[in-house]
Amino acid sequence: MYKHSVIIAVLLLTAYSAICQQGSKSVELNYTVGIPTGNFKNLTDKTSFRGFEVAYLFGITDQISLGLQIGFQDFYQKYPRQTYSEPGYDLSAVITSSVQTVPIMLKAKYILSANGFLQPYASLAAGGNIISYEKYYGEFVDSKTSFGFAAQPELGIHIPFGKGKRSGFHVAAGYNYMPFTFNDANGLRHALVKAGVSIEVND
Amino acid sequence: MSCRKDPLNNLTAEESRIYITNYDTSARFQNYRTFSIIDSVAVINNNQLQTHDRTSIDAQFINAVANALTARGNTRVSRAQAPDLGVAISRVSNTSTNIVSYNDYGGYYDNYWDSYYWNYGGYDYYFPTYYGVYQSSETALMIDMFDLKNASQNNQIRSVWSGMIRGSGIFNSSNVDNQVTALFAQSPYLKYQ
Repeated sequence: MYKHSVIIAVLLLTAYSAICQQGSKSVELNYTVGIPTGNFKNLTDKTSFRGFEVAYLFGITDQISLGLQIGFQDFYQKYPRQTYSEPGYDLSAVITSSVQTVPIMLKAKYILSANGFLQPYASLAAGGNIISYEKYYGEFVDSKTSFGFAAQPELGIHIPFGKGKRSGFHVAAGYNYMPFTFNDANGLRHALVKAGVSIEVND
Repeated sequence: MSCRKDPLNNLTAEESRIYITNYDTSARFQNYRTFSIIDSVAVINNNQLQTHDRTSIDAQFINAVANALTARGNTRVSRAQAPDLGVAISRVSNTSTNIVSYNDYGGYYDNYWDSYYWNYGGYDYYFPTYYGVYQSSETALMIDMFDLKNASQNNQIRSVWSGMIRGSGIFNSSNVDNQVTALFAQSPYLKYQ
């Protein structure tokens, strides 16, 4: 019985191949959740459930793929009416913070283990970031749109499926490093949790 | 950007309003015993005085401010009785003219009247670029208090406090008292001792 279990396990493990083969192309579609950290929590400390990513990757080797990733995340928080005071001046307002980030980055992905049902991987993306910052005092807005830098390290698990096991599901955790300075904003760093699919799109 | 939560759609009329107060930190408000308040509101548009008016809403604001000061220990007098404080109220409007381009206007036509309706099936609509001109206007309410007690000593009528209300629904009768209350609530120093 024990010998049969071992044989079955070995067959299952060897049935799964790497998510990227040299020369293969794949598209990743992710749903992302953003969790503000550091100074970003001064603007909003609410987790954002409005985000997504699309990536196009090309297999350089069986374990390494390179490509382009575009993302979007919307952060929003409305604070109850408060009075903000300075010497000689008081402002009573309902303040709303609204921040959108659109990182456009080059991405490198490394499959740590190309075999098995669960395939851990690490990736690093870096590039530009379109930032839209709005702070509302009642219905009156103070806003800025700018282009900055973004970097995203990531660790994840890929679960292959489909013909040849070239496509798959994945879950991952990452961190977005996004410098941004304007008024009371000093950095938009946030943790990222993502889940999605990777689909082979070879010709 | 799509997929974003629109802040303006998530505000009530009350939440849209902001209350701003400025005050002279050197003023001794506890020393102002009496006040006189104007009997009509100045109507100002783009920094130009248009007229003085006393609508029912204006009268409501005047009464609400007078009542708030009286509740804080100040005594209302006529301006002939040498009041310590002079109080004025203004409706301040700014109107701007803007140009908008309707570049995408024609793109929606196919969804409502396709070309087959006009017996020209398969033809595309063409729209030249349309420009529209529109005016936008915003009106705020201003309340100003002047130090009349020390005017001759200072050789000037010095503003010691101003309150501003901006946003939606300012001139709804049902909001007047609450708005004046809000301005005075964030000004606890404004009382005669």
